[in-house]
Amino acid sequence: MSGPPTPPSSCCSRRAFLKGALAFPAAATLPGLFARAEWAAGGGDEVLVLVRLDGGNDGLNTVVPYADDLYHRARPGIGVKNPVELSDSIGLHPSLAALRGAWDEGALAIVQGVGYRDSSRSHFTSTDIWHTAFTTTPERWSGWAGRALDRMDEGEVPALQLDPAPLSLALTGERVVVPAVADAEGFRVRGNKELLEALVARPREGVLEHVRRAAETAYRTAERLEKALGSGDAAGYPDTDLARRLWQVARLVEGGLPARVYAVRLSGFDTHSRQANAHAVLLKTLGDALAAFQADLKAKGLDRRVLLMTYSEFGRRVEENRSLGTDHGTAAPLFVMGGRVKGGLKGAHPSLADLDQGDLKHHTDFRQVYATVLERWLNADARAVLGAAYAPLPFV
Amino acid sequence: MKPFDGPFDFDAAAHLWRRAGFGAPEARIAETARLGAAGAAKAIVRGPAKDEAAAEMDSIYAQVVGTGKVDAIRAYFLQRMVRCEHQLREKLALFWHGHFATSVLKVNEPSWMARQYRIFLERGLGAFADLLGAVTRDPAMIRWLDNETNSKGHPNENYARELFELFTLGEGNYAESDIKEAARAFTGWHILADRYHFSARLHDDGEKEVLGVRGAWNGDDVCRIALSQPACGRFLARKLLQFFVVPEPSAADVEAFGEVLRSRGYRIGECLEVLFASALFHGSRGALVKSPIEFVVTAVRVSGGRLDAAAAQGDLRAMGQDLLAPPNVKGWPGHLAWINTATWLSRVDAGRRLRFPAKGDGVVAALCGQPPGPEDRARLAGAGNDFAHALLSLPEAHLS
Repeated sequence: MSGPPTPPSSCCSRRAFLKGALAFPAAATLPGLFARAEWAAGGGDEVLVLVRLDGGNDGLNTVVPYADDLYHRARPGIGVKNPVELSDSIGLHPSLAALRGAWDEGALAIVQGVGYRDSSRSHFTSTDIWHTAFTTTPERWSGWAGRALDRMDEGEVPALQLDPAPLSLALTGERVVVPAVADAEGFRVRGNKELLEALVARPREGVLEHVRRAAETAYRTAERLEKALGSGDAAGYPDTDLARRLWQVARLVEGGLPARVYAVRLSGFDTHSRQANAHAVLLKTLGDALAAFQADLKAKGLDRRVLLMTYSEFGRRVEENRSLGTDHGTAAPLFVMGGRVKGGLKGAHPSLADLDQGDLKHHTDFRQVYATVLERWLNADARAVLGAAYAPLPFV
Repeated sequence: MKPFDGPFDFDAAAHLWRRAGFGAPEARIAETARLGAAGAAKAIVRGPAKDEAAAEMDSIYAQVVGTGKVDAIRAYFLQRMVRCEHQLREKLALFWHGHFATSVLKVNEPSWMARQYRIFLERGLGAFADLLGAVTRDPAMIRWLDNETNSKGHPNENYARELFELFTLGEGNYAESDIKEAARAFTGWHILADRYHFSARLHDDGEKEVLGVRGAWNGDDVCRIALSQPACGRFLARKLLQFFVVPEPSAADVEAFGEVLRSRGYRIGECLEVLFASALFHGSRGALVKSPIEFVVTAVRVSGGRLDAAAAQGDLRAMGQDLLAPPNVKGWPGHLAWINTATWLSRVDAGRRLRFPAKGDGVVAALCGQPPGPEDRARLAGAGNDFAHALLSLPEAHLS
């Protein structure tokens, strides 16, 4: 089941985005300081962690239909030969072996065949579509999580991106200001703090106000992060940027930072050539970091408050290319992990015998995943956020 | 385009220097202000008759590239931006680097990246067709978009796709079938011993239909066909306007500047001279957010100080603009995307390292895209040793 018809995309107007980004109600410049208890009363303290696999993850070599001859025929050079078997037909890439623990505990769901109609092959357009949750140019350019945050009580740090890139469109709301930091550790104001704060105290207009608000948010976020982060023990986490950031998420949740959504990113999935090694390294980075995060949350007694989901702008073509890589494709699986997740495979693996011009056909719209997370996890009005009703999925 | 007919004063000249270059010291701006809008646009496009700094930088180029170290090469191009007198050449090279965004992280050969950046310096002001031809044969580009593996019978579509989507036409102005056909035209455009190499054996010389025209096209033909599309003028006009003028140019302005580009054979310098003397350009003061490189290099040039290239590279990375390593083939998103909580603290920290020998209103006007308010001017005046840090922590200093 999926939502309303989705005509070919022509996302997205930057003009619309600018309008949205610059339309700050004056009141929003002085957000209230919400205590923990108020947050809980306002809609729960469940935390969502978004892990973006940037570049278009090869879903077929991530969650492998290893018993299907068509798979091995399409991928003579890069096919996965020794998967971690999850069922008599589906297995994980061996680099994801660390996720076996979460799988066995029932804390890992794999939603298969996720995509949308007339999938864009452009990284940028498709990323925008995943982030806005609109397949056509929306009236306002904001993200699905950002719009959910717009509807919640605004805390000092309503969400947090741990990634040096510009704030993800997914977290961009029409009202909410979400801080983005490269690293929660060392995010401090240096120099004459009083003077710096005074220089950004006076409200401005337009672009200047956008800059001023970022500055003000930065000074405030620095203070909050320092308080919430604590020290903690990295034991169990591998030495990767992704793992370090997830470790920081665990500490910030434990330290009481009132963020409801965290976003991190792993890049490099655009594997057009010689993909076997590169993809194995990426999946190992992912699997090991996720497993360490889940174990840490469990040890801290927080695993039932945190839900993590991965996503990528598209999967890749079924047939490997001449360069032992794969080109841009369509449907792919995604992972959902957490102590309250209903584990297991959700939906069938898309058929390799029934392709659309060499690409997998999706059977689950990505907004069904969002609707599930919004309604059953963040306690948000999915219909209002997504602009249409999408049937939720049984993973939480 | 309507020419600018307002007063061409110090502030207008400072605007021109910030946009067409990386700013200038107060005295230099005052000289430019005497030239009038058209004279100043002409002078900044043509550059000085003699550019001693550029000659000196040219003389050490081979030695820098010979180190094979990407940080040395980055430092070299950053120093050029600070020192070279023909500022537009340096600024435009940065524009083309963002347009043909190629990253050393995949290319893995710093010297190839240097050679590509040199193409932007040498051909950036000339005809776009020549630039595109050189980039299409550039080894760094060939590796970046996997054209090495694009061979007859097994086409790799990556270059053809980005050529249309990001380099010439923009989405919506071609079909998937055009990409498939164009990819065949680039088959056999490979690399041999660090250089472009055409492999006739691996080239598909059959007939292709690209953007509605049939023929046994090769890569040059495809570039020519793309350039002949009206969409190309609009696409390039839009990107140049977004970099040099306003974040969101109107359809009418895109059309008008697109017409300037088409009617002048896409000779970029000539077209920019028209743009820099236009009412549109001079009405756009303070409309853009400075990129990290603009922010740092402009601050150094206005202060009259020197660039600590090693420190600057760390700062720039933290601000999200690592030269020779754009985030993806679409380049840096720019404008508002430069500013978030993370990059703000990095920008402000970078400001702590700079010293401003001169502290007057001229320095503030040379640097800031919009004038600071009176209370903030008073704070600057009383900031003492914190002057540079305070100035560079003002939101106004981050606009161009």
